[in-house]
Amino acid sequence: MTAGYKPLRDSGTFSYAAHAAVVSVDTELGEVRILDYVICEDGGTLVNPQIVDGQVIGGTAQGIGTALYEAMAYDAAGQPLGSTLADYLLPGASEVPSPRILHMQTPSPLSQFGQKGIGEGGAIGPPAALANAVNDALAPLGVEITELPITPQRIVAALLAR
Amino acid sequence: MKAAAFDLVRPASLADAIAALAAEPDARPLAGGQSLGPMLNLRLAQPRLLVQVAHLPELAGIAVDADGVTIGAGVTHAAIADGRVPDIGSGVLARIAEGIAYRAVRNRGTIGGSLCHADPAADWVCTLPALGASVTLQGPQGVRELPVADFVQGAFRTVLLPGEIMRAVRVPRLVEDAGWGYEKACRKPGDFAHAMAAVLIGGGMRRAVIGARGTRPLLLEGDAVSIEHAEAALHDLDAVHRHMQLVLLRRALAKAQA
Repeated sequence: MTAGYKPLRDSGTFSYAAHAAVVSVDTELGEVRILDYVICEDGGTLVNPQIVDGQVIGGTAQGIGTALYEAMAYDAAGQPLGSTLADYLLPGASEVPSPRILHMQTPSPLSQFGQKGIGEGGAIGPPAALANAVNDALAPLGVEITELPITPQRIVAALLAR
Repeated sequence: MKAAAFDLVRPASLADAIAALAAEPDARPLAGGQSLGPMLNLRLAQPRLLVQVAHLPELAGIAVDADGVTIGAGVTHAAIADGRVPDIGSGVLARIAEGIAYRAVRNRGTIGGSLCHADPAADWVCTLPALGASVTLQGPQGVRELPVADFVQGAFRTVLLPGEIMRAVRVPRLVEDAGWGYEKACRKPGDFAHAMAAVLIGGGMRRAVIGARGTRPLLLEGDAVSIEHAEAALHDLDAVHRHMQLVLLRRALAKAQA
């Protein structure tokens, strides 16, 4: 005989998040600095708000890595160029701003207590938010970056190609 | 990864260290280990013998006179950043040291070790030639002194002979009206620079050094200290890299002339 547990409601829940970034771009060196970062999350009923903030900030740090630093590069011979943390850059304490986090709490009708999954929103927003902010800064110069990560080299290359 | 097997000796004197290095062709001196350590772990370096040198009393001294300072090769970046080496003017050495990697590296990494490792993007490798510094080397054949500009020959390549150890770095005092500019571009603080330039102007002398170009630093002197000369000299770099180097040279020049 097999025993199992089926929760009262077992469909997925979806949280929602909006990310907004203010950045400065050094148009000579291609360096991007995050000046302000605001996140609005709807995690439904927050069971433990501190854990929610931790998940959001941690996810955002990962997303900043995707946007600005991380790349699995290979040379012409197929040798991986990012095999140590000196070559594969991750954002550290000095690269991750303290984001301002706003919470909407729209209870999910699908979960028992109105809570929603909160883990993914943080990591998904930053690439789009940062790329849009960088491109907004570069717009007067007629340049658009369409590839991640947004490295200083890519920004300078785009500016030189004008 | 872990390092391949090696032997480690801790000699009591510089003479013993030189003898240990000279006796084993596959030996490397180990100072702060902030570059050699990772290289051992990645097995990029697999010496049979490591000879510790940072603790040697002959490499520890700091001396000052009217013309400049002499810094033992085993003095750490942190000691220089903390002002334990007398100032040569404008706090230049402390400011350079403060910008090297991050504190944990500065606590153990040494000025001599950094020069002998000769990473093209290392701060001392780029700035000390601009400051007109020289180094004292001691080996089985005796003692010799030469400018830092001649000491570094290429990427991770120096004039050190087998058994030879750097004993000290001599940095002349800045002249009264000297202007100094040092600029580098890194992806993150603590990361190696992908472009860097140092400029010293004063006493009728002009000197500029461009580092992080994958080989020995480019030294420009006198009238050659100009964007035009640098641009011509950096023709082998790709356009993006060259552009960044020239931006930093321009900024360093502006600071030195301010």
